[in-house]
Formats: sequence, C-alpha cells, structure tokens
Amino acid sequence: MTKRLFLSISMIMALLVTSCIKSTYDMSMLSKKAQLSPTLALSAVKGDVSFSDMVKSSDTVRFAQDNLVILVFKKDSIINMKLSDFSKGTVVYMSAPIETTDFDLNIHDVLSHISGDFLVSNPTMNFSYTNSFTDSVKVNLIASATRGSNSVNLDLVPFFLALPDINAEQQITSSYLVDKTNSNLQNLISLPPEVIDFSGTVTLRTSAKGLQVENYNLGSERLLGSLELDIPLELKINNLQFNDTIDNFLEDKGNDNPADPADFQTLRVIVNAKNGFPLGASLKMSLFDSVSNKVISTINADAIIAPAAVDSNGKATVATESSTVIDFTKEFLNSINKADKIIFWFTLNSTGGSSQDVKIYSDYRISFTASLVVKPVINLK
Amino acid sequence: MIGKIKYLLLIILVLDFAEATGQNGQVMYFMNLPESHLINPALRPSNSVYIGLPVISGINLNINNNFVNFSDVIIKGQAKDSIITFLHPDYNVDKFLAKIKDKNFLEPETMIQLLGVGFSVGKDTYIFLDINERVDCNVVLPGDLFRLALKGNEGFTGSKIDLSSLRGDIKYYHEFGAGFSRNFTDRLRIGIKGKLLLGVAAASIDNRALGITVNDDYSHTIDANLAVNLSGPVNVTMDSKNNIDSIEFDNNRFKTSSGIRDFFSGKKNTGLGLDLGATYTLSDRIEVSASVTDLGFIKWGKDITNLKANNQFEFSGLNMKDVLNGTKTIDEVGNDMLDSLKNAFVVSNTKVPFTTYLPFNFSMGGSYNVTKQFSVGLLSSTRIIRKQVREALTLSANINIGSAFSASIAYTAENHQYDNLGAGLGFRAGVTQFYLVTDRIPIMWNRIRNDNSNIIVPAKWNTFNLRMGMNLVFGNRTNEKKDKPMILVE
Repeated sequence: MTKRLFLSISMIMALLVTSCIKSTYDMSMLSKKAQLSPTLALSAVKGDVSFSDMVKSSDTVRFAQDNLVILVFKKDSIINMKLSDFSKGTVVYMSAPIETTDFDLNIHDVLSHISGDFLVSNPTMNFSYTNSFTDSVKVNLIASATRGSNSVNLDLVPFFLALPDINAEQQITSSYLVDKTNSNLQNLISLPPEVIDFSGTVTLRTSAKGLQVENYNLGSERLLGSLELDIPLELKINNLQFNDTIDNFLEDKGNDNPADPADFQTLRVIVNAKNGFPLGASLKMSLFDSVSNKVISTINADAIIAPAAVDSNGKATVATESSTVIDFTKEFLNSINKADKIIFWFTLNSTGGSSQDVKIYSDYRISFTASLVVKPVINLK
Repeated sequence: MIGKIKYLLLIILVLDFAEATGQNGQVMYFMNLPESHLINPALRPSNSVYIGLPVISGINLNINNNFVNFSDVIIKGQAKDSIITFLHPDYNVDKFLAKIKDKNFLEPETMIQLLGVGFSVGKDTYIFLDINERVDCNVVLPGDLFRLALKGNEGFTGSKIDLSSLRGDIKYYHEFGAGFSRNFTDRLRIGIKGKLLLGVAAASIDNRALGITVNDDYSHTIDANLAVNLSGPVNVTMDSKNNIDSIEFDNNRFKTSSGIRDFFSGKKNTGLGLDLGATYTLSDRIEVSASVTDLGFIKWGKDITNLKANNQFEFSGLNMKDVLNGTKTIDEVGNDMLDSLKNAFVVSNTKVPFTTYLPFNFSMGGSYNVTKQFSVGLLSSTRIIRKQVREALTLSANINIGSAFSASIAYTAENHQYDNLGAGLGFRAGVTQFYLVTDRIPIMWNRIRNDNSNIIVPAKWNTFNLRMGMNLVFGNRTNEKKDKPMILVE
C-alpha cells in the first residue's frame, strides 16, 4: 500500500515538475511602445463677483442711488469766453465762435475690436456753465461724433443760458441738459464714438438791433462752460462682437513642452455659470496662419454664458444658470502647430437682443467655474 | 553578463507578480521535518536531534501578490511573435484593470536560518533553538491608485479616490527563538517558543486617512493623515518652510567596521515574539492541532525619522475674483494656490520611537492516518496583517516513513484561487536530511527567449513559496506502543 502511494506521489510530482510550456516569449520582439492616456479633469478657475467688485466707483464710473451704473466722461472749459472774444477793436459783435475742441473718449483701442449693434437708451450730456453776461446768451453747440469713417451729429437745438440777477449777483451757475428729446445724443453715443468734436457759436442778444453793437461798454463778463457726458448703462446689444488676435500660445515651439496640445486626444473646457447680468456671451476661437492669411480651424462655443431674465424695466430678476462644453476637436488640436495666431471672437447679446432695453446695476453678480478635461497621450518610450 | 542581469530582473518581475497566500508552509505542516516547529511549535520531528547548519539548513522565500500575473504585464501581440506590455497603445488597459482589486498586496518575505538546533529530552520533551534572519515586507496598493494612474480622475467624478488602504511595511530583523514542546497528557502536546527580536532597519507607512474626493464640478478635496516612520541610516533634511529638501542614505555609517557592527547589531530596536501550538490525539488515526505563530512586535528606537502630514485641502480652481478686481495678477493667484497646497501638508519631522507588529498566523489542522505511514490532512491557515485577514484551506496527502522519507502533495484554496497544487519532499541520507517544499507548483510554464538563451518562468503564479535546506539529524524517535493488551473479562 505504502509503496503504491509512494510511486503514485512520485509520478504526480514528476509530471508536475515536467509540465508543459504554454507560450514562448521572444523578448527581442517586445515592442518598446508604451504610453499612458489618463483622462484628467480639474476645476481650473472660478469666480463669484459683482459688477462693483470688478469696477470700482470712480470719476468715470458712477453708481446711482439705485445702483444703476453710469459711465461719466467730462470735458472742462469747452466754452471759455469773455466779452472781449466778441469784439474786434472797439466793435463788439453779437456772435462769437466757440473754439473748436475735441473730446477724446480714449476708447479707440476697444472700439477697434468691436463690431455690431449697440444702442444706449438714455444718455445725457450736462452742459454746466457760469455766466456773468447780463444780456441773453444763446448757445449753438455743434457736436459731431466720429468713429472711423462714420459720423453722427448731435443736432442740438440752440438754447439760452440763465442770466444773473444784476441786483443780487454778478454771475450765475447753472446747467443745461442735453438728451434724446432735444438732440440726437442717443444715436451719437450709440455709434459709439471715438472722438466728439465740439464747435458752435455763442450769441449775445442786446436791446440793440443789428449785427453790430457800437460803443458797447466792455466789462468783465464771462462765460465758462463744461460738459459731462453721462451714459447710464441702459442699453440694447445685438451681436456686439469683440475680437482680438494674439500670438499662438498653444504652439509647441520645440521646447519639450510636456503638455503639447497636439498630443491630446481630448481637450474640453466646461463652463458653468450663474449669471445675474442681462448679458450673454459666446466665444469663437480660430487658428490663423498669417502667412497664408487663412483661418485653419475654428471652435465655436455658442451661448457660453446665458443672459439673465429681466422685468419690464430692464432690470435682471433671476440669474440664469448655464453649462457649456467647449470641445476642442482633434482636427483643431492637430492644427495648432500650423498656426501662428489665434483669433478670439466674443459675442455679446443683451436679454431680448435689440427688442428690449436692459439696465446694468452695480450689484449684479456672476459666479462661474471653468473646468478642464484633458486626455493627453504620455509617451513613456 | 548583461543577459544574466536581464534574466535576473525578469525573474524579480515575475516573482513580484506572484499571487499571495494565506500563510506559506501549508505543505510542510504534515511533513516529518524539524522545521515544522516553525509553523506549530508543538510539532515534533521523529529524529531525536537535529542541527541546522548556517544558511544552508533553511531558506524560506515567499513572494506574493494578489493582482496580476506575468502574462498580464507582458502580452502576446496580434502580430505573430510580437510581444507588448500592458501599456502598449494597442492594448486595452481595461483588461489589465479588470485584474486589479481594491486592495492589491505584495508581500515578499524571506527567512534564512543561521542556526537551528533541536533535541529530545526524555521521551516527552523536545527543545529547540534557532536564530533566523528575517526580512518581511508587505505593501498594499489601493486599486484606485492604479485606476487613477491609468485612467485618470474623471471616472471618479462624484466619488472618492480611496487611498486609505495604502500601506507599506518593510523590516529587517534578527530573530532569536527558544522553545520546547511536551506531552502534557497521553493525547495533548503543547509547544511554546519565545523570541527575542532585534531590528536592523524598518520603514512603515501609518495611513489613517488618504483620499481625494472629486466633486461634480471637478473640484478636489484632499484628505491626508499619514505618517512615514523610518528606522535606518537615512538623513532627512527639511527646508526653511519645513518641506522635505532631501532624503539621503547615510553612507558614512558603513565606512568603519564598528559602524557596520553597530548597524547590524539591532541595539535599541528590540521586540518580543511568541509562537504557541498544540496537538491533540483524538484516536490512533486522528490528530488535531492548532497554532498561533509570530505574535510579536518590535519597538524601533534607533535612527528614527517620523514624517507626518495631516490636513485637508480643497482645490476648486484659481479664484479669479482678485484678478477681476485688479488686486492680483493670475500668476500671483497661481502662486498663492501652490503655497496654500504646500502649507496644507507641511511635513513634521520628529524622532519618536514607533512600533511595528509582526503579521501573525493562526492554523488549525487535522490529520487522519490511513496507514502508519500515510495520512491525509486538512489545514486552515489564517494570516493577519494589520486589518487584513487571509485565509487558506489545504488538503494534503502525506507519507512519512520515519525521518528517512517524507513527502506530501497538497491542494490549497485561497484568495479565490483554486488551482494551487503544492508538494514537499524530504529524505535522509545518513545523518543528512534534505528537504524541498513549495506550496504551489506551476503547472504551465512560459519560455522567455532572449538572444540565444532561454529561461522558463511559470505562466501563472498565484504564489511563490519555497523552503529548502539541509539538516543534520540524529536518532529516530520511535513512537511508544500504545496498544493495550486485550483482556478478556469473563
């Protein structure tokens, strides 16, 4: 019995030890290709900001009591006239020209990148003056706004200034409001202008008749006037487009950049926003070859941020939540190194487009996150 | 020479991916070998005296893992003769990940017996002494770590990358053991072995919490509460911000013989261990036994470095508020974020002694003697490493012809692996006894061809376990006849 068992166990062990070869691996045929391609997702940026966080109240941006945002442009001494400006020698004329002056809003760079419809609803221009002329003074202020080859005239009806009460005061300080009811200011501002040129005439009206007043007693009368252009952000925007061309920062310039986008199988940007502004935005991004002057590839992201709903007064009532996925196609990624420029196109639309005024208040908020999903191919050999 | 190094590396790779077991040595349990007392101190060999010669008397090597095999890493390609790795672009890495478990352990262990002595005192008592060099390593790699590395973090959106099971322990220590076994009754035999442990070097990860929560918006919350304890000739220097500047091995320690002696002496790293075992003879044919081995600890007090990090950090992207309101540039915001991350996980470097515990084993077995020389046995082996429990069940057939010949074949089911066939062989020539035991015999092999040479490696290794050695044995304990005269009572 024992001998049989011993033999059996020995045979089994011998069989096991000399068991068969399953496969042969020729290591000279081992492929050296090895790579990792994990899908990495990361919250890249976030923000929760109000308008007043981004833009502080200042000389050029003012927040009204109800928080309506008002852009303010000022031009001092647009009129600085003494009686002597009306005279030549001993002859005093009834009219004198306002010295031509221009009012540069210093937004040329911005405007050069903007196209599309833009209508400001209620701009005002406040003409503030100090007048010591006792006779009636009529101002014919001519203003012409230009943007490139386009121009719009103010078409302001001539107006009279207040006069000092000679029994009580030597001069009076007052103002005259220019708005869309008495001028073409709305269209002038909505151009929008780079420069506004001012000129015109000031006419004194005395009891004497005629174009000339002889032997007028030359005194110290003076007229000082300044302008303040107030643009409440109550507007309509329809496909206002801002574009900018920059150098291709994604291009692999052979500096062993470990994150060459051309090696990405996937590149996706996910934008989540809760937008309290009645403004929506979309983005287009184009790869551009300046040598051939051709757009090589374009990524479109419509409605990247949706606008908030507004009430009948144009005030945003409820923030709108939106989520947008911007997928960078393989074709786009493969074209990155063929382009030397990238053109960004941002398109803005207000709620309701061109059919409704919206107002921008300083307490509007927007919160957003932008996440990045990438699937790089990391070559290990 | 380079070819040999390649083979060596290949073998190491293969061994690294062998599959884990509950406790190695199941096959030896029912064999008549002096080394059986290492598994159950109540087990006694049939010879009266044994002397284990330095080094050659016993080498035990276990290298285990529970996740992938060689063929999962090196794969036959579609084209004839082509071979690819699991990282090849043509290979579906999901197939590799399908083999990955939540807790993937890798446990290489080795024990070299420097000295072993065992002898009988009287007919009931057996005394044994041994000195062993032991290196134990156990590493647990969370499955999420592999998934994160190979697939990225997007798949974890809305859940947590659980790295809490990340664990690592490696320790090198001397073991001085002395024990005895004795029949306390005709049927009950108890053995006990006390051990003095002197640690040489250790590294241990104490992971109390480690995880990354990936939120739906892809923001991340990182929790970390872990410590790395080191005892060894390592210099860790910190920079002014308390970040690790460098970790360097202290070579100067080994430039003098006194320094080398001091390093290997194990002074200040002391511990104790205990093995307990018992056998009980139910009848002439049936014997049951149980043992607990490697209950013990080492308190490490020499060359201590504790690196600890404990905090929570949330990364939800660069906050653009400061950029939008013009108070900071985006570069400044980015640098602030990096500083915050660094400061959140400032590593404290202390020198507080720490304690490591030995993985201990619990065995219960029973054997049935079919004949005087042939028995079948059933053995349950449980190995407990910290909070992890491994269970193995072994069925064996054993032949023990005194100390002249001992053989065993065994089938072991463990860790959801049901194809483990082991064998052991021991035979005596004069006073010399040789033995070779393995818990798993590879049935299928792969041939690895490189240049003009070939080696064969197991196609599928669920475990690699090998015990081999040579003893000097003297005498042969004979069982006292327990037969009682049959008395007929009228």
